[in-house]
Amino acid sequence: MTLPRSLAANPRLSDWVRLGADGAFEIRVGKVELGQGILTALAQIAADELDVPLDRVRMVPAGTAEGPDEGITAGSLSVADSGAALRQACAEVRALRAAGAVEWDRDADGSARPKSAAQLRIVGTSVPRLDLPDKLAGRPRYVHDLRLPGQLYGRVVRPPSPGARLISVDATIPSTVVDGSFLGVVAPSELLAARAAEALARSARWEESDTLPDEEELPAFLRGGPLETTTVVSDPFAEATHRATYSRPFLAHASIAPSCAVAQWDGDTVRVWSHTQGPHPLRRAIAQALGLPPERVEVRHVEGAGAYGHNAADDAAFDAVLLARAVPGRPVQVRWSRRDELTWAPFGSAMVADVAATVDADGMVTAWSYDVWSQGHVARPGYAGSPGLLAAAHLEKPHPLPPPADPPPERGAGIARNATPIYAFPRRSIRAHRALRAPLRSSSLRSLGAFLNVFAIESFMDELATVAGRDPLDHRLDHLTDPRARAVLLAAAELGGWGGANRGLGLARYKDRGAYCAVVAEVEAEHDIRVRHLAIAVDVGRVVNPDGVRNQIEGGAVQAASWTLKERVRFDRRRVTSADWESYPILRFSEVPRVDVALLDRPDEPSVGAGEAAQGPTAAAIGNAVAAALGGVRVRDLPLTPERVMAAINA
Amino acid sequence: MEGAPDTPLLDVLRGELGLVGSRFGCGVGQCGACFVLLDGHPAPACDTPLWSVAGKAVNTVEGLREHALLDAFLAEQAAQCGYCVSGILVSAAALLAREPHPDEAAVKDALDRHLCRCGAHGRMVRAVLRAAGP
Repeated sequence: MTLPRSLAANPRLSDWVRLGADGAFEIRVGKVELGQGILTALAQIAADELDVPLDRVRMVPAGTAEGPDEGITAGSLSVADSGAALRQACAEVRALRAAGAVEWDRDADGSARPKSAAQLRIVGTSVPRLDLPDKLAGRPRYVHDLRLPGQLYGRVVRPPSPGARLISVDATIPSTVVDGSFLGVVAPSELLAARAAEALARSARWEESDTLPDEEELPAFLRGGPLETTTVVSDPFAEATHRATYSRPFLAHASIAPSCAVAQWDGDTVRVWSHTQGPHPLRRAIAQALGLPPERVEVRHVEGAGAYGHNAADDAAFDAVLLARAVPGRPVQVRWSRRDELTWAPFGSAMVADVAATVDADGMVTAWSYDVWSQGHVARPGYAGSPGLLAAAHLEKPHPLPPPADPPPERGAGIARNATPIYAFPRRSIRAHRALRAPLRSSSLRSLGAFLNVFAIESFMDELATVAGRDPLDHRLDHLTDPRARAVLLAAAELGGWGGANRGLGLARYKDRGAYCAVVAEVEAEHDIRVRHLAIAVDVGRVVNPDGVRNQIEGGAVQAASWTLKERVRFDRRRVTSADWESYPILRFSEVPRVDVALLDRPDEPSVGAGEAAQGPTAAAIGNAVAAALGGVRVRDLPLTPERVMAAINA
Repeated sequence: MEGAPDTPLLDVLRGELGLVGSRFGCGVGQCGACFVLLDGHPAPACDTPLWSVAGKAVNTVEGLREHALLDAFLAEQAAQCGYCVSGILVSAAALLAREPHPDEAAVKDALDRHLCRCGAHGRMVRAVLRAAGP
């Protein structure tokens, strides 16, 4: 049989499974824990296939020194990729052990069959998260908590704006590191590092320039080119009977923890502790930026806060490498400031989409046209041939940051992710336009382009239903042939009391081949927009950990509600100005809706990820519910702030 | 404690004392990740200078390991990344100390100074209600 992709790339069984001295199986995977519960889900898979109780498997944190290289932990692929590889590897180890083997330092050959769904005992149960007891009790677990012998503390003084260049600085301030426009300090304590960084910042003179687009005219900026256009489908499209345009602003990952890393040099090798999403890609990027062979760089994963995509984790790791180089042998911990996290970490790109449709006399869509403009959605370490590390772009000998790229269609695309409607329209014409000028750095934010694309498609479906005088649920069902899609739609409608007032629907299948998710939102739109309830039905194939899936769906929906109602990166023509939690507000406890999740278990379908399924459908459901509550007045530009709603009412 | 009077309390806790349960999030008291109890009242340790806590009782999340809240949070799996939770546990403990049987609105109100980015709010509210008991 064919090996799962990740196992084919890392076939050595002992890279995945070893027997520890204490009789426990040590499991190594290339995927990392980001608070999404992946280590628990993979431990369940391993224990089931090895035929041992869960407490006889031990998940070893990923690193470059040992274990498989599985690239980046992203795209809701960890259960699908790592899970499939681990299932096969463990099945082979089980077979070898049954035949009397005591070690398995050999390649997987596809000879053993994993268990059938009916034989699984641990998969499919809500095993509690393995990492939560430490995290809830306040025991050291995060990279921020590392305290290595002789550890020093570093701070970076970032330029004041993306286009700024260092003119002069007082490099005589003790423990200062200056390299081009990269400025930093190393000190024996957090307090001393903070003071030295303040002194360094005061002494620095910068030349700034206006490099940013007009925040009020982002659609015009994105459409303005130069552009790279990808045609997804090009059926003929004649005359539109209806058109609308939807947009979203730049969004911040906005992790609660500022990014952090520790690095330590030993001669010409460096060891890095990082909450990166990809230890191996980070290692290669650091080596490239320094002109070192990758073997001289070791990256060890240590957990951090939730990332929600490509935040500043990798950048902080390279900051630590640069600062630690000034104090050979000493570990240096670098923790970013809140301001730097909100202004210098990559953003999710602003986007704008034009939708048009031709509708027949019964309201059925006969042709559909979709054009979407955005910066690229991937600027991870190693993208476009560049290290892709922030500080590397500021060095005396810089590695500039190329315009963000986009994943290829076989990896779910970026701008065009979920740009293809789930509905059976007879003719479709779909294009994605990537802006090749990217004055604000953008990279992967959970669900990439799917958030705006699903919002646009599902909002427009409601607009078409309204024009046709039809119920939005019936209108969708009439265009929907996929039975799994119909099932989640009907389940969400039931759970959300469809037919009641102030409700809206949203539906998508993530990446066209991942999880199905439908949402019914109920809102209040009086003085303010408040989401009261989100009813969500989801089909992720075979469920590995039901409570884990629920937690991911609930969290994804609440985060999407926050993006939809409140979030917008603010800037003037020179500087990013949303630099704290007051200027970049997110949803609070008093504003969070009740969330109910119905899981449709499909034990015979492959397991797919849950982390990015709910975002697009949630935004669409909220937008549609707001339009329902306002008697058809529609806000097509996110976020749906009270000001925007008032403007739409008065328009 | 000895130390420069303007040292943030959080640096002393995480540095000299090695109590890393209180976490840095923003440095200006906006996110709640670093909350501790000062004489029983929740307060951000990140912008509380050491001099201002002289003679006061400081309780951190490490002091809550026997509290009913911890079991309740585990039972509800009330976290994703967990980074914000220690501050939330501190505020929840203060709430339950002054109001042993709060309703849902009171819990949300007590936690409203805390930010959670993973969207685990609903679980955390349920966990606090569970800890309060029937």
